[in-house]
This record gives sequence, C-alpha cells and structure tokens, in this order.
Amino acid sequence: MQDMIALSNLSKTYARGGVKAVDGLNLRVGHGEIFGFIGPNGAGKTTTIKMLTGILNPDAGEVVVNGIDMRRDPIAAKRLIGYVPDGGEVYERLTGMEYLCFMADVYGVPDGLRRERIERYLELFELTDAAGNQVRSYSRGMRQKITLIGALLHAPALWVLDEPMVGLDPKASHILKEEMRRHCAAGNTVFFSTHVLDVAERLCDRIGIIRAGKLVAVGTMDELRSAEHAQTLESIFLELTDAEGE
Amino acid sequence: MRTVRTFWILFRAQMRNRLGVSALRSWRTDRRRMLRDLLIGLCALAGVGSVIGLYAWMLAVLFDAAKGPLAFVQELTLMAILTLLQAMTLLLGTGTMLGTLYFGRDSELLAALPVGRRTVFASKFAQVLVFEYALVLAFGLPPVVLYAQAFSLSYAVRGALVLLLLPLLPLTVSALLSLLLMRASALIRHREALMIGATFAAMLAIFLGQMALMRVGEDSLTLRAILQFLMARKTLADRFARLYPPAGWALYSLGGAGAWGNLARLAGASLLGLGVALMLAGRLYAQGLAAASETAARRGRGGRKTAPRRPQLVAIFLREWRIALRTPAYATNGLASILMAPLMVCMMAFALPEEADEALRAVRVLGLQTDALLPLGLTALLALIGSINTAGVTAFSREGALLGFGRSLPVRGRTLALGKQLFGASVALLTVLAGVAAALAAWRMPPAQAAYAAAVALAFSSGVNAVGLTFDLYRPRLNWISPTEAIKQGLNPCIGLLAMLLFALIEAGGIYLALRMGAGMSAFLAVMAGIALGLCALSHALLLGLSGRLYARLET
Repeated sequence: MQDMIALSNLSKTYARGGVKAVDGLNLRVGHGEIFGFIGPNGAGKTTTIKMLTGILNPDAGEVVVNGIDMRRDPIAAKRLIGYVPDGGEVYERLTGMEYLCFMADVYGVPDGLRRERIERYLELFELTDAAGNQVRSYSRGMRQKITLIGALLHAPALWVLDEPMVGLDPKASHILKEEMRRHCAAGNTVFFSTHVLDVAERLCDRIGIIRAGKLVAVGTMDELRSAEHAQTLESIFLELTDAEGE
Repeated sequence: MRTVRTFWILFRAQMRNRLGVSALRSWRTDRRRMLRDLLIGLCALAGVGSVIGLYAWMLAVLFDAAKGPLAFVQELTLMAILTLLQAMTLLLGTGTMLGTLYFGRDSELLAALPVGRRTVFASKFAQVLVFEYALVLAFGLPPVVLYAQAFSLSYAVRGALVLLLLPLLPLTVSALLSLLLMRASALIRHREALMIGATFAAMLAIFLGQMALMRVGEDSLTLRAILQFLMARKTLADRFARLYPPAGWALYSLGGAGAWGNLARLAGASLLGLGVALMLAGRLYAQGLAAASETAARRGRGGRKTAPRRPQLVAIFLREWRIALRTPAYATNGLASILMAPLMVCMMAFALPEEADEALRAVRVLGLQTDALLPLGLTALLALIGSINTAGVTAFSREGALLGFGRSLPVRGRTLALGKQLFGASVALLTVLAGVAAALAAWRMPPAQAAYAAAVALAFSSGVNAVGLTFDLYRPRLNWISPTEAIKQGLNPCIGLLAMLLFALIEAGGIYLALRMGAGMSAFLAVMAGIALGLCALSHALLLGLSGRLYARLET
C-alpha cells in the first residue's frame, strides 16, 4: 500500500531574505497514522504544511498525496486533503452557514451529505446557534471550529491541521482529538503541527521534529526515547532543538 | 511635544506599511524584481501621466483661447476645477475615511497602545490627506500654473498654499461625517447597511445638488447671458462663490484684490474645521471604533438552512457578491458606478437640454447624421462609467491573506478567475442596465438604440475588467490593513484605468479609419461594436489563457 504522504527532498527558500525555510526534507506518513509535526518557531513547519497542501510551490523535491503528485495534478491531490490553516483566517463577511456551503460547493459535496455533515459537525462543536451569524462576530475558538468543520465536510482522507488546538476550549479540543482517532481508525491519516507537546506525545502514532528546515528526528515515541535517551517528548524536543550550530 | 512625536511615529509606521517601503530593500538582492517593479511603475505612470497630460493640454488650449473679452472663462474653469476637486475629495474621502478610521486591521492593536485616541485619529486623517494630495496635485496643479499671468513668487506661494489647503476642508467634513455616522451606528444593529446606505445617500445628495446648481445656471448659458457675461465677467463665478464660499476663497486667493485675505479665510476655515474634528474625535472616535468592532448577532434561528449544491463557479461568484455587499469600503467604492450611471444620464438630460440641441445643430452642419449621436453618446458614457470598476479589477487583491488558504482548495486558477470576472462583469452589467433604463426614461431613447449602447458598453467594460483582473492576478496586493487600500489605493486600479484608456484609443483609431474611408452610419456603428466585441473576446482569452499559470505561480 502506498503512503498517504510522501515528501521527497523538499526544499523552499524565501527569496527576499535568502532564508532556506525547508531544506531537503524527506518524510513518509502511512494510512491510519496520526503524525505530529513539531519544531521551534520559524523551524519550517508551516512552510512544509503549505507545500503539502499546494499553497506554496517547492523549489525542489516533490509532494505526493496518496500516490498523486501535487505538481502534476494539484486539483486531484487537494481533493484528498482537509486543511485547517494556522491563524483562523476565514471569510469574515460570510455567515458560518454560507461559509460551510461555500466549502461544500467547492469540494462538490452532494446535497443530502452536506446537510447531514453540516448538522452533525455544528452540533458536535456546539455552533448550531451561531451558524446564521457572520464569521466576524465569532470568537477565535469559534472561528477555529468553523474552519475545522469546513475542512472536514468532504470527508477527506488526509487531514492537515496547522496548530488545530489553538483557541479551542477543552471540550472542543477533546472532541477534535476523538475525531482524529476515529478518522485514523478508518484507515485515514492526520498530519498536524502543534506546540502542545503533551498532546503530541499522547495522541500521535509517530512524531517528526523539524529544526532550521531539516527533519532532525522522526519515529514513534518509543523510537525517539531510545534514540535520544530521554523519557518525555519535552526533553527530547529540547535536546534536539537546543543544539545550536549543528 | 510628546503628542506630536507619537503622532509622527504612528503616521510614519502606517505610511511605510501602506507604501510598502520596506519591500524596496529586496531590490538590492533581487535585480529581476527591481526591473519588473520599475517597469510596472513606469507603465502605471505612463497611463496616469497620459491622462493628466491630455487634461493639461486641453486646459492649455482652452486658456490660450480664452483671452481678452473671454478671459472670464479662465476664471470660471479654475473655479469649476477647484470646486470639483473639493467635491471629489468629500465624496471619495468619506468612504476612504470610514475604511481607514474604523475598518483597519490595526484598530485593535492601536487601541491597546498607550496613545490618545485623538492622536490615532490624527495619524489616520493625515494618511488619507496624503493620498488625497495626489488627486489634488494631478488635477489642480495644471490649471493653477496656467492661470498665472506671469511668474511671481507671491503667486507661486499662494498657489502652493491653495493646493495644500484645498482638500483639508472637505476631508475634515468627511471625517466629521464618518465620526458622526459611526457614533450613530453604535445604536443600530445593521450598522454596515447603515453606512453603505448613508454613503450612497450622500453621493445622491451631491449629484442632485450639482444638478440643481446646473439648472440654476441654465438661464445664464443662453446667448443673451453670454453677452451679459462679457459685460459683467464674474457673474457665474461670483454666484458660485456665494453658494460655496470656500471655492471663492480658493479662486480669489490666486488673483485680484484681497488675495492674501481670501487665502487667510480659506486657511482659517480649514484649520477651524480640523480643530473641531480633532476635538470631537477625542469623544466620538473611541465609541465609533467600539461599534465597528462589534457585530450584531442574528436574532432568531434564521440563516441556518443549508443551501443546495452549486457548481464551483457559482459558489465563487456568489461569495464575491456577498463580500462586496457586506464590506462598506467595497460597496461604497466598488459598486458606486451602478448608482452613478443613471445619475449621470439623468443629469445630462435634465441639466443640459439647450446645450445638447446646440451640439446637435453643430453636428448637422458638419454633415453627420444626428440619429446616431444619441446611442454613441450613451455608449461612450456607459463604457466609461462601467469601466471604472475598482471592485472588479481588485478581486484577487481583496482576498488578502485568504488567497493563501484559497490555494489549498481544489479550484483551478481558470475557474477562480472566471468566477471573479463574472462578478466584475455583473457589476458592469448592472451599471449599463441602470444607465440604459435611465436613458430610456429621461432621453426617450428608442429601445433598439438603447440595446446597442448596452451591448457595446458591456463588451467594452467587461473587456477592460478582464485585463485589469489579469494584472491583479499577476501582481495582487495582498498585504493591506484597511480594505480601502485593497480596492482603491494601489497600482492595480490605475492599471484598470490604463486598460480603459488603451481600449478607448483603439476604438478611436478604428472610428477615425472608418470615417476616413467614408463609412456610412450603419457601418460606423458596426465598426465600433466590432472593435468592442473583439477587444472583449481578446481580453477574456488573455485572462483565461494566463490565469492557470499565474495562479499556480502565486505564493503568499
């Protein structure tokens, strides 16, 4: 069975500052995996995610999603992905319902399914009452929830979530984690970045640590522990990311 | 002193952000980018410069002809331009002021700083003023220079001061209107609808006022009245100055006795207005700002029904309309043409009947058929208004940071561009239809001629929009704080105007050739329509041909 995500020699340099944000990154994530992507600020997490979702074009290397090359057939590859960006940017002047219907239209979700999924997710995340209001009236957590629902409406095989827990209340955060597990149990994949190391440690099947654009460690918690001779993800993270000049 | 320093820090930071000064640093390392930016800048400069150059040349011809007993025409022209510039500043400034003062993304950040609201208000007011100076200098400087009988230091100083003071008073009125409107909006749930409605109402009032003024002056434009002018040169200018004193102060600051006194009056009124605005800002700005940041939640259970499935194209088209209608800066700047077209048509019908008759007689003398003049005139007017479609040509820039998120969606660049083009074309269509409806009613135009004008104007303006949108996709302005910056203050709306000028030149060239070849009226109309349709097809082919590639290389 082919990998859900295959990133090969992925590189990206931002021309203005001559900064190599991602440098020859290789990574494979299989079906049924929850993969946590962690790293210090400015390490290249969001740039990698943006290349994975087709927002940024890599300078070198390739992105393959479930066997589909992002460069050759971006539309087919993007149809497999449900993406939640960092920062909660969303069309503020649309109502929550208009936004969800827009996303359903873009992904071509049929009438019956969209109604069922929208109702289910709105109820699950307790947004039903706010669905008729403009998104600009939403709190940060509510924005995050509506973005999440929009990304899940077409039942994508791959969820790519950039800092998905930010802004969510404990209950919503718990629901999301449950949904992530359920999604992966069905043979799908979740790729998410986070700064909450406890969540990554408890939730992820495998974890990748990125520093200065390079993947410095990847594996299950047990593999990381034995490789780095440390017990917690926090100590492993600090060990790997504090090593200046390497 | 500390307040002035804080004002300067705020003003400088906001101007740097607006103008993107720091982006110029990349020129050092990126030569290709520097050359590209310079080339685009030169193109925009050439576009704007050619319009201003043409305007200055026409004025020079007029001022040269208006000598001796006709010298009063110079005075009248200058008065009209100075008044029009003030009216434009008031009209356009209100929308800009609202957007800058209340709907900037930096409002929360600035509110949290230990800086007085009055200082924040002043820094934002100064920002808008700087951009209004571009308009005033472009269209005010040529007549002021031409009006000078001979160079004198005194005239140069007065001229410079008049141009500096000219936008201050109307912009102060705009700021006061914005402050009061936003304060009032704090009491109303649908405050955005109120703001959009109030701005359109203000536009309507200004146009109606202008029509009333023109009707007042109608009698004065008869031959008898022109003779009266020759005997009492300043009749109309004086009458106008009485109606709107600041225009008189500005005009008479430049010549005649008491020039410095008039200048002092203009300066006094402007500074007094500014003082009142600053004083009120201390009380009203914060309340309005709080109102702008609050969004009324819908009462009841409305708006929760899922919509039926639509194709991607329709979904994008509807999203464009929803966002344009719900964002005051976009609605007031981008959709104003729909209101302006019928107003302009009505204004011409009601205010200039005698002049139109004179023009028709003159055309008959030249041997042209007059029955084609009406559709030609309407076509030109609607093509012009329909092509000033700032919402259409900035559809990518207006997405801002969301364009990055949009790229993660499985939508082809071509589909996205077409959806946005459909939005721009629909704005042009509504403009044209509103104008044609007004022409049918006010000009009593035959339906066939109206249909011709509508079709040609729509082809022309949607073609212009397609060219502007292609450029917007090539070089979108995505980093903006106030939505006004996205729709109005940038290179892309200028490129839209440049495209309009280019299209008009091609049309003019075709018409000139048709006339030279002795084409009949039907052939002449067919040539005009053919060129418009050809340009429309070409520009759509350009947009659809390039959009896939341009969208793929776009990065945020």
